[in-house]
Amino acid sequence: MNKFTIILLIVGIFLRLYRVDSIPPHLSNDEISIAYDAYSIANSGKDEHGNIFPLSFPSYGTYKAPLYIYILAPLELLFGNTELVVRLPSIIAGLLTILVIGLITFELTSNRQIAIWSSVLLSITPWHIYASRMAWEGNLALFFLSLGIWLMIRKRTVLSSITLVISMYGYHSEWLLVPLIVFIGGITFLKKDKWKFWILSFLIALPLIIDYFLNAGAGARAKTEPIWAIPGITPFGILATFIRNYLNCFNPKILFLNGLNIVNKNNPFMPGLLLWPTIIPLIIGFQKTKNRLFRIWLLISPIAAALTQGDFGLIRNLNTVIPLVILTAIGLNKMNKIWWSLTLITLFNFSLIYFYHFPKELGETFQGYRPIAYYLKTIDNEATDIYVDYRYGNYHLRHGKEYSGIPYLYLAFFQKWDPLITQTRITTDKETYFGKYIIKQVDWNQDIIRPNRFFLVSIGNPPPDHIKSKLQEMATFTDSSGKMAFQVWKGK
Amino acid sequence: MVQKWLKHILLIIGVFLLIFISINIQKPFWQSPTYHETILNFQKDQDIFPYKIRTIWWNKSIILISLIERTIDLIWTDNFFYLPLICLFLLIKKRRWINLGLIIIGLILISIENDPNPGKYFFWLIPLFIAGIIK
Repeated sequence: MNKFTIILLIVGIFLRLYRVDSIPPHLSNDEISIAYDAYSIANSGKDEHGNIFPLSFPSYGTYKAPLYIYILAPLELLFGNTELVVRLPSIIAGLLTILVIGLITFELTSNRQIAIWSSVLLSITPWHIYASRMAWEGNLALFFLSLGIWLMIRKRTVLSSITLVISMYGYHSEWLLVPLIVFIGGITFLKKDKWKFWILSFLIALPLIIDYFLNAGAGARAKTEPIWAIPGITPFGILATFIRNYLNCFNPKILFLNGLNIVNKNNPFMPGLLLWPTIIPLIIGFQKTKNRLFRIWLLISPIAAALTQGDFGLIRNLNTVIPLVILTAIGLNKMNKIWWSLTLITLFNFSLIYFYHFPKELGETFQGYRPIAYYLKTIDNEATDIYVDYRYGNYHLRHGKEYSGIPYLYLAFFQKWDPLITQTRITTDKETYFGKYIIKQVDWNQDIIRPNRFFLVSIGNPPPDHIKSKLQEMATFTDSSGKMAFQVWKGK
Repeated sequence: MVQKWLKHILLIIGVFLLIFISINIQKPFWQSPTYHETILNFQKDQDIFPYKIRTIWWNKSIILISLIERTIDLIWTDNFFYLPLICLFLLIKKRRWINLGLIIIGLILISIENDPNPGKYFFWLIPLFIAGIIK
């Protein structure tokens, strides 16, 4: 390992850790639902809906995989409810994946240099940096998947079987990918032990399979996600959609030019998932590699993502990053100093956009409820009830976008509500009651304003002038770009 | 011998068709008001790079980036059942780099047009493809 690779590795690790609690500026929908379910499990043994130690978390209708939540629960008990703690498992998984990819590459190529390059390349890959800085189930599952593959290559039947199937408990994309890897890997690497490997893997996955059939919600979601669930789709339509989705996973525009959604869509400086100069060593690596397994791995990785509806999924397709990086590392020894200079410039460009422009440009899209939760905690005794509008964005004032959020999860998580409050919520047509908190669309002309009733609204829904005399502005909150985002009003 | 001649003739026809495509470009996308609006919009609201080099180099690079993106869109989307993509893969497989390069130039020329008409122009690239697959 020379000085240059060590420096690059340090840069990669730095990019994963630098201001990880504040960039992305706030927890996303998926992150907060994972965070709160972990808190709820740690404190009551039940999720936010009152299910006892579930294997599928209904959350806000997204049915989360259980692994991240169960790993996070004890961490929150020990270290508290903060963004850093929520993202910690993903950060650690991301760092360990850097190590594991090197080990896999070394096992399959017996080339120390290529193994080091694959680790270095993964550490500076925007796609993996982005995933490692968020509490993404897919990133945790990717670590277990990679570890399982390494153990499988090392012919550790039991350990690899456990780790590979654990990744199925980590993220839904692995449900299809892991059985394929277990089948192919069993034949390729564990010839004598393949039946033991297959049966053991099946047995460890059994609780998940049973839960899928017994848990109506999780099953129902899994049945609406695939492309064949599109209403009125024909067999030809399924095939065409699959081909389109599958090819999209290898679309150079997404991979190298503008796939990483960290600035506005029309912004020409949107970075790609991989640093664009790596396209050259990737093509060389794909052609030169003697090991077919890398190509097979690359080709089967996006199958699960291609079978689901919707556009390209950054996280659904994250598994593809490992074979892509290994193939790039194989083609890397042909690269000269000019190529390296270009790569470093592109890395600098990505860092600049990620750390400087991302929080500013997309500030409005984040639900910045953390400071609000802390503020509302201070007026808790004073308030008779608190109306919280779940919409956010500057849709009213500047005809901007209107977003629909899940503020109750942020309030519950950062104020450390008793889990019983969310588990016993009362839902009507228009409102959901969480103790003092009422989540609804605040309608200034309909809602009754009375003393000590608080209103939390976004800048998109300010009180009209004729009502302002009945209200007192208590606090304002800005988003990460510094623009006004939320207001708290109190009835006089 | 006949195949060799045919190959050369098709290649020459293909090059002429490329010239014809380039002559027929009515309005490059970088002259369209929508494109300028997009560029101006993001420059007005966001200081995309906190350095002055933005105005010197990056504004020009936007055209290049947009052109590459538009060309990839032509190749990678399901136009004519992925015909351009299949053609390119076949030429890569056969290692016909000249034909491949000329077809890519053709696709770049098509995507320069603000409102490209792939239905009309894709077929003008067929001579180059056939010249590439003839042994």
